[in-house]
Amino acid sequence: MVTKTFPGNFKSLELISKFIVKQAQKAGFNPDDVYAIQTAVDEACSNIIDHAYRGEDLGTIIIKVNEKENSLHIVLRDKGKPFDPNDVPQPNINSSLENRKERGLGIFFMRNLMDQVIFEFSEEKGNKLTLVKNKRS
Amino acid sequence: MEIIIKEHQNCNSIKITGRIDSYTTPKIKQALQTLIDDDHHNLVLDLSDVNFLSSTGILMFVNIQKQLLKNKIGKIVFSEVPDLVYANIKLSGFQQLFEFVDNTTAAIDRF
Repeated sequence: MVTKTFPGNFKSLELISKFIVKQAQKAGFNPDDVYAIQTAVDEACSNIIDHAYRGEDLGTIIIKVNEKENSLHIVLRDKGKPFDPNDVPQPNINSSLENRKERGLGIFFMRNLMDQVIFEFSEEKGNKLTLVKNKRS
Repeated sequence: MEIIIKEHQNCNSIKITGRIDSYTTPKIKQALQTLIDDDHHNLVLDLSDVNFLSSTGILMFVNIQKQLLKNKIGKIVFSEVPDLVYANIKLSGFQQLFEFVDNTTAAIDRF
Protein backbone atom coordinates (compact mmCIF):
# COMPACT_ATOMS: atom_id res chain seq x y z
CA MET A 1 0.00 0.00 0.00
CA VAL A 2 1.28 3.48 -0.88
CA THR A 3 -0.09 6.74 0.56
CA LYS A 4 0.71 10.24 -0.64
CA THR A 5 -0.62 13.66 0.32
CA PHE A 6 -0.97 16.47 -2.23
CA PRO A 7 -1.91 20.15 -1.87
CA GLY A 8 -5.51 20.69 -3.01
CA ASN A 9 -4.72 22.77 -6.07
CA PHE A 10 -4.86 22.25 -9.83
CA LYS A 11 -1.08 22.36 -10.13
CA SER A 12 -0.99 19.09 -8.16
CA LEU A 13 -2.94 17.27 -10.90
CA GLU A 14 0.16 16.53 -12.98
CA LEU A 15 2.06 15.11 -9.99
CA ILE A 16 -0.99 13.08 -8.95
CA SER A 17 -1.25 11.69 -12.51
CA LYS A 18 2.43 10.68 -12.50
CA PHE A 19 1.99 8.94 -9.14
CA ILE A 20 -1.16 7.10 -10.25
CA VAL A 21 0.26 6.08 -13.65
CA LYS A 22 3.32 4.60 -11.93
CA GLN A 23 1.17 2.60 -9.49
CA ALA A 24 -1.20 1.38 -12.22
CA GLN A 25 1.70 0.31 -14.46
CA LYS A 26 3.33 -1.48 -11.51
CA ALA A 27 0.07 -3.35 -10.95
CA GLY A 28 0.29 -4.63 -14.55
CA PHE A 29 -2.56 -2.73 -16.23
CA ASN A 30 -2.40 -2.23 -20.02
CA PRO A 31 -2.01 1.32 -21.45
CA ASP A 32 -5.79 1.71 -22.05
CA ASP A 33 -6.59 0.84 -18.44
CA VAL A 34 -3.72 2.97 -17.09
CA TYR A 35 -5.16 5.94 -19.00
CA ALA A 36 -8.68 5.16 -17.72
CA ILE A 37 -7.44 5.06 -14.11
CA GLN A 38 -5.44 8.27 -14.65
CA THR A 39 -8.55 10.01 -16.03
CA ALA A 40 -10.82 8.84 -13.20
CA VAL A 41 -8.39 10.03 -10.51
CA ASP A 42 -7.84 13.39 -12.27
CA GLU A 43 -11.62 13.94 -12.46
CA ALA A 44 -11.98 12.94 -8.79
CA CYS A 45 -9.28 15.41 -7.67
CA SER A 46 -10.70 18.25 -9.82
CA ASN A 47 -14.11 17.59 -8.22
CA ILE A 48 -12.57 17.67 -4.71
CA ILE A 49 -10.99 21.08 -5.40
CA ASP A 50 -14.08 22.49 -7.16
CA HIS A 51 -16.91 21.03 -5.07
CA ALA A 52 -15.54 19.87 -1.69
CA TYR A 53 -13.00 22.64 -1.02
CA ARG A 54 -14.68 25.08 -3.45
CA GLY A 55 -11.36 26.66 -4.29
CA GLU A 56 -7.64 26.00 -4.46
CA ASP A 57 -5.23 25.59 -1.53
CA LEU A 58 -7.95 25.16 1.08
CA GLY A 59 -6.90 21.66 2.15
CA THR A 60 -5.09 18.50 1.09
CA ILE A 61 -5.94 15.41 -0.94
CA ILE A 62 -4.71 12.14 0.56
CA ILE A 63 -4.43 9.29 -1.94
CA LYS A 64 -3.98 5.70 -0.87
CA VAL A 65 -3.28 3.04 -3.51
CA ASN A 66 -3.66 -0.60 -2.60
CA GLU A 67 -2.99 -3.38 -5.08
CA LYS A 68 -5.03 -6.50 -4.46
CA GLU A 69 -4.81 -9.82 -6.27
CA ASN A 70 -7.46 -9.00 -8.87
CA SER A 71 -7.87 -5.24 -8.60
CA LEU A 72 -6.43 -1.83 -7.76
CA HIS A 73 -8.12 0.15 -4.96
CA ILE A 74 -7.56 3.91 -4.87
CA VAL A 75 -8.93 5.83 -1.88
CA LEU A 76 -9.06 9.64 -1.97
CA ARG A 77 -9.74 11.64 1.19
CA ASP A 78 -10.41 15.32 1.71
CA LYS A 79 -11.68 17.51 4.54
CA GLY A 80 -13.88 19.68 2.37
CA LYS A 81 -17.65 20.10 2.39
CA PRO A 82 -19.69 16.88 2.12
CA PHE A 83 -19.89 15.84 -1.52
CA ASP A 84 -23.07 14.07 -2.56
CA PRO A 85 -22.86 12.79 -6.15
CA ASN A 86 -26.67 12.60 -6.20
CA ASP A 87 -26.71 16.41 -6.16
CA VAL A 88 -25.03 16.37 -9.58
CA PRO A 89 -27.36 15.47 -12.47
CA GLN A 90 -26.18 12.68 -14.74
CA PRO A 91 -25.44 13.94 -18.24
CA ASN A 92 -27.64 12.39 -20.90
CA ILE A 93 -25.11 11.86 -23.65
CA ASN A 94 -27.93 11.06 -26.09
CA SER A 95 -29.62 14.44 -25.68
CA SER A 96 -29.13 17.07 -28.37
CA LEU A 97 -25.76 18.80 -28.28
CA GLU A 98 -27.40 22.18 -27.72
CA ASN A 99 -29.36 21.07 -24.67
CA ARG A 100 -26.85 18.76 -23.05
CA LYS A 101 -26.08 19.56 -19.44
CA GLU A 102 -22.40 20.02 -18.85
CA ARG A 103 -22.21 19.41 -15.12
CA GLY A 104 -21.56 15.88 -13.99
CA LEU A 105 -19.27 14.84 -16.84
CA GLY A 106 -16.42 14.15 -14.38
CA ILE A 107 -18.51 11.74 -12.30
CA PHE A 108 -19.84 10.19 -15.52
CA PHE A 109 -16.21 9.56 -16.59
CA MET A 110 -15.33 8.03 -13.20
CA ARG A 111 -18.34 5.69 -13.28
CA ASN A 112 -17.68 4.62 -16.87
CA LEU A 113 -13.93 4.11 -16.52
CA MET A 114 -13.82 2.32 -13.16
CA ASP A 115 -15.53 -0.87 -11.92
CA GLN A 116 -16.57 0.63 -8.58
CA VAL A 117 -17.02 4.25 -7.45
CA ILE A 118 -18.07 4.68 -3.81
CA PHE A 119 -18.64 8.09 -2.18
CA GLU A 120 -18.76 8.23 1.65
CA PHE A 121 -18.75 11.07 4.18
CA SER A 122 -18.16 11.22 7.91
CA GLU A 123 -18.15 14.35 10.12
CA GLU A 124 -14.88 13.22 11.65
CA LYS A 125 -12.90 12.10 8.59
CA GLY A 126 -14.50 14.08 5.76
CA ASN A 127 -15.08 12.77 2.24
CA LYS A 128 -13.84 9.35 1.21
CA LEU A 129 -13.97 8.27 -2.42
CA THR A 130 -13.03 4.71 -3.34
CA LEU A 131 -12.22 3.92 -6.97
CA VAL A 132 -11.71 0.27 -7.93
CA LYS A 133 -10.38 -1.06 -11.23
CA ASN A 134 -10.45 -4.81 -11.79
CA LYS A 135 -7.56 -6.53 -13.52
CA ARG A 136 -8.52 -8.25 -16.75
CA SER A 137 -8.33 -12.04 -16.49
CA MET B 1 1.93 22.55 -21.36
CA GLU B 2 2.98 24.57 -24.37
CA ILE B 3 0.95 26.32 -27.07
CA ILE B 4 2.39 27.21 -30.48
CA ILE B 5 0.16 29.26 -32.80
CA LYS B 6 0.85 29.65 -36.51
CA GLU B 7 -1.10 31.82 -38.91
CA HIS B 8 -1.96 30.34 -42.33
CA GLN B 9 -3.85 31.80 -45.29
CA ASN B 10 -7.35 30.86 -44.13
CA CYS B 11 -6.86 29.51 -40.64
CA ASN B 12 -4.62 29.33 -37.60
CA SER B 13 -3.03 26.12 -36.37
CA ILE B 14 -2.61 25.67 -32.64
CA LYS B 15 -0.24 22.95 -31.48
CA ILE B 16 -0.71 22.00 -27.84
CA THR B 17 1.93 19.92 -26.07
CA GLY B 18 1.42 18.19 -22.71
CA ARG B 19 -1.63 17.91 -20.49
CA ILE B 20 -5.06 19.52 -20.93
CA ASP B 21 -6.50 19.44 -17.40
CA SER B 22 -8.08 21.83 -14.88
CA TYR B 23 -4.71 23.57 -14.42
CA THR B 24 -3.87 24.17 -18.10
CA THR B 25 -7.38 24.56 -19.58
CA PRO B 26 -7.81 28.24 -18.57
CA LYS B 27 -4.55 29.14 -20.35
CA ILE B 28 -5.60 27.31 -23.54
CA LYS B 29 -9.07 28.88 -23.38
CA GLN B 30 -7.52 32.33 -23.11
CA ALA B 31 -5.21 31.71 -26.10
CA LEU B 32 -8.14 30.51 -28.25
CA GLN B 33 -10.41 33.34 -27.13
CA THR B 34 -7.71 35.91 -27.98
CA LEU B 35 -7.52 34.46 -31.51
CA ILE B 36 -11.31 34.57 -31.89
CA ASP B 37 -11.51 38.14 -30.57
CA ASP B 38 -8.84 38.99 -33.13
CA ASP B 39 -11.16 37.68 -35.91
CA HIS B 40 -9.36 34.36 -36.39
CA HIS B 41 -12.27 31.92 -36.43
CA ASN B 42 -10.95 28.87 -38.26
CA LEU B 43 -8.85 26.89 -35.83
CA VAL B 44 -6.89 23.67 -36.45
CA LEU B 45 -6.02 22.13 -33.11
CA ASP B 46 -3.04 19.79 -33.43
CA LEU B 47 -3.22 17.43 -30.45
CA SER B 48 -0.46 15.03 -31.60
CA ASP B 49 1.65 15.79 -28.52
CA VAL B 50 -1.17 15.96 -25.99
CA ASN B 51 -0.82 13.14 -23.47
CA PHE B 52 -3.91 13.81 -21.34
CA LEU B 53 -7.34 15.41 -21.84
CA SER B 54 -9.84 15.76 -18.98
CA SER B 55 -13.57 16.54 -19.05
CA THR B 56 -12.77 20.19 -18.19
CA GLY B 57 -10.66 20.47 -21.35
CA ILE B 58 -13.32 18.77 -23.49
CA LEU B 59 -16.05 21.13 -22.21
CA MET B 60 -13.86 24.17 -22.93
CA PHE B 61 -13.44 23.02 -26.58
CA VAL B 62 -17.20 22.28 -26.77
CA ASN B 63 -18.11 25.79 -25.57
CA ILE B 64 -15.77 27.46 -28.06
CA GLN B 65 -17.04 25.25 -30.88
CA LYS B 66 -20.67 26.04 -30.00
CA GLN B 67 -19.85 29.76 -29.97
CA LEU B 68 -18.22 29.55 -33.45
CA LEU B 69 -20.92 27.36 -35.00
CA LYS B 70 -23.79 29.41 -33.53
CA ASN B 71 -22.41 32.61 -35.05
CA LYS B 72 -21.53 30.71 -38.28
CA ILE B 73 -18.12 32.35 -38.34
CA GLY B 74 -15.77 29.39 -38.25
CA LYS B 75 -14.99 26.15 -36.45
CA ILE B 76 -12.46 24.03 -34.60
CA VAL B 77 -11.00 21.06 -36.51
CA PHE B 78 -8.93 18.58 -34.51
CA SER B 79 -5.88 16.96 -36.10
CA GLU B 80 -3.67 14.00 -35.14
CA VAL B 81 -5.59 13.19 -31.97
CA PRO B 82 -3.93 10.28 -30.10
CA ASP B 83 -6.21 7.23 -29.64
CA LEU B 84 -6.39 7.49 -25.84
CA VAL B 85 -7.20 11.21 -26.00
CA TYR B 86 -9.91 10.54 -28.61
CA ALA B 87 -11.34 7.81 -26.36
CA ASN B 88 -12.21 10.42 -23.71
CA ILE B 89 -13.79 12.77 -26.29
CA LYS B 90 -15.89 9.83 -27.54
CA LEU B 91 -16.86 8.87 -24.00
CA SER B 92 -18.16 12.43 -23.44
CA GLY B 93 -20.45 12.04 -26.47
CA PHE B 94 -19.27 15.34 -27.95
CA GLN B 95 -17.21 13.84 -30.80
CA GLN B 96 -20.02 14.53 -33.30
CA LEU B 97 -19.54 18.26 -32.73
CA PHE B 98 -16.05 18.16 -34.27
CA GLU B 99 -14.18 17.05 -37.39
CA PHE B 100 -11.14 14.87 -36.80
CA VAL B 101 -8.37 14.81 -39.42
CA ASP B 102 -5.35 12.48 -39.37
CA ASN B 103 -2.90 15.00 -40.78
CA THR B 104 -2.40 18.62 -39.68
CA THR B 105 -1.35 19.86 -43.14
CA ALA B 106 -4.49 18.31 -44.65
CA ALA B 107 -6.58 19.95 -41.91
CA ILE B 108 -5.04 23.37 -42.70
CA ASP B 109 -5.74 22.84 -46.42
CA ARG B 110 -9.45 22.25 -45.69
CA PHE B 111 -9.97 25.95 -45.02
